[in-house]
Amino acid sequence: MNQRNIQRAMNLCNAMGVSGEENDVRDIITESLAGTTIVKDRLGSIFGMKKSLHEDAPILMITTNMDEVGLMIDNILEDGRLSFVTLEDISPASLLHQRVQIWTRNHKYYYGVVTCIGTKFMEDAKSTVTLSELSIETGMSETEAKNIFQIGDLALVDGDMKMLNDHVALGKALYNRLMIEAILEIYENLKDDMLDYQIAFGGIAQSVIGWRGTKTATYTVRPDIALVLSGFEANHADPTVHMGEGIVCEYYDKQMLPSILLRKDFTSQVKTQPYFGYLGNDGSFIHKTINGTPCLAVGIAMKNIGTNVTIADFNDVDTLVKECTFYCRQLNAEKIHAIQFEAEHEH
Amino acid sequence: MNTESLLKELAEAPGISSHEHIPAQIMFSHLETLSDRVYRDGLGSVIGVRNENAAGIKVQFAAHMDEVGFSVKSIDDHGYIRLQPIGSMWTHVLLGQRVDVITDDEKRIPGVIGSPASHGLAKEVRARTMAMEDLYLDIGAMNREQVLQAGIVPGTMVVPHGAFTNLLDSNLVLCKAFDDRAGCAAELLAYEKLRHCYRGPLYCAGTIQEEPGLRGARTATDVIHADLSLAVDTTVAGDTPADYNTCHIGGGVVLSMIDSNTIAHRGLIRYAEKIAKEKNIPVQYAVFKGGGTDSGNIHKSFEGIMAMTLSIPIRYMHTMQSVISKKDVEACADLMTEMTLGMTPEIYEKLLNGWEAFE
Repeated sequence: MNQRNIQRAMNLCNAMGVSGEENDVRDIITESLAGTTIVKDRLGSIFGMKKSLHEDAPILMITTNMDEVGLMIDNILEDGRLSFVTLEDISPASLLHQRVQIWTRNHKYYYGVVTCIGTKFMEDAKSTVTLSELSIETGMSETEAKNIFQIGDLALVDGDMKMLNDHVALGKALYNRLMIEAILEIYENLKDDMLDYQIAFGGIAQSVIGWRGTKTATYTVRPDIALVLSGFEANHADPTVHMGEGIVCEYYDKQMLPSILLRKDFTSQVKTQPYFGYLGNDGSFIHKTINGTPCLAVGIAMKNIGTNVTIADFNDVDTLVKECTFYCRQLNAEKIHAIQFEAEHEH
Repeated sequence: MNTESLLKELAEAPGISSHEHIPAQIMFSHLETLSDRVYRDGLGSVIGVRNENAAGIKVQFAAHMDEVGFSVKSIDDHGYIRLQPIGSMWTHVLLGQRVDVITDDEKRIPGVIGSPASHGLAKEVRARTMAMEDLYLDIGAMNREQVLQAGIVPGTMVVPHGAFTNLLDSNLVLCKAFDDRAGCAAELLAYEKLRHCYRGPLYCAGTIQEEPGLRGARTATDVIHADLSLAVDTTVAGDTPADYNTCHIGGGVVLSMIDSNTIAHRGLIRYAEKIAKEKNIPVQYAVFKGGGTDSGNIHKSFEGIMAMTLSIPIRYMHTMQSVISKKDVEACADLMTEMTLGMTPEIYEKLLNGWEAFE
């Protein structure tokens, strides 16, 4: 991965993109997909359409989610602290004593820290904490806090990307934003190829929260086939998957069983590590919205997904980009139709 | 329309989920006088529309017509009736309450949910809430035949007994079913206010079956396919000794930032705040994930619909009797009116892009 792409990957991962407010991520995608026809749904998902010579050529959707887990401020307390709810599940253990960015209505942020005011940690080395014990210390008085924050403001756990060596990164939101970087690189590889099918390259809004945008994005793009890119948790994985060993292909999660034809087609041509997990991804509603879309989730192994200290290997990203580019180049309209059971489609 | 008489008429009407025909008829007749056309979706939601083919942003109001209640499950030999709750309720608040059984021919048969006498109850029994299966309804029948003769069969609707009552503060009112007949009243008030001053396409929907899973919101939205949707519902008022929330009765309309199925559209929130400030409409906030609203299914429809829920704070939600303030219903109607009037295609496009709108 070249220097410019590491910088863009960093910008993507560091960007504010808590569910519902993915604008900054969307801006980076828009800029990188200049030259495509931009298509948006109304929840904030964005796609660049690489057209084919044939207007009604089938569409491959390559996508991942843009949003990240975060917090919403639910009250400003009498001592200036902020209480909050989590958007989707975040372990209280991974929130305690974390720096957070609280983003105001006019998109400026202030730092705070998640505290547990009921405990003196130097006197009580407690090992468990519940969500209801946590709040955000802003260092402000109630009056100051009320001048700056409003109920409903969003917050994210601070985790700007750091390189641990020349190829391994540490940071927040890697599990989807590095996949956006991969999608943008696949686009760059393919942009001048003449293909007899279309590709929708993009990102989906409001997806880590209930996969809501996956439904509206699918409705908007109307794909005939879809590849979802994702990070997969290597810790406690069974069968094991390893960072640095290339592509992971998901065989099972609670929301989607991948298209068997697409999975076999992909894995017969690309070396992959099989993955079985519970956590759903964007495939959840892509595969079952409207008349159904063959869908497969592939990606790379990462560690500590769902925290601000996720670890991922850029060498794996490179492999993913290379192999997905290869797969797209050998794919054609006829093969897509074969994978679709020759289903009839409305366009 | 008068707020109080509208609230009374709507809240007193019996109508549990899937049995909304009585409140639906009330909604239909009000909508008929205010609309170019009134129609039903396939599941039974009532939809009034004006300026259907006009240019402009297609705005949809939605409030659900169903209330929490029960369905008759079985009748025993002694004439006691077992109940299936429709919508979430805590048995704690049901014992000893008066209810009305509404037969298919709309006959109203009063009864009471039986309660064991406290005399001689063991301490540990007193400390527990009863299981729903152990609850029974007593309508004063001597045997099973008498119940059947009255037209009560499995599936018959049972609703809380509640006559609309004014409370000490002249703005506060007490009745059953304010969730969500108060929302129905608010949307009708706004729809009426906009009658002569709004030229764009405007839909006013009374949705059905919200309580068991936002079902009518799905179907009504499918037939309307709006650009912008304002759902009206109730939210827990935090001003009692027993409940916590950041809104209170009489404090104005609540901007619901999130519920269990929806994040309010972030651009639309900023627009609502701007309009409320300009028009001096009292607003408050709730971040309450303990329940869902119609917006949950509305915003995910089609290519996505810009949506948020405006809420009326309510005390004693999902119990047999609730308290609201007429002022909050009116503030809600005012905000719906002004948000609709101020909406243009240009503003709508800006809002789709979120926070940039008002920089």
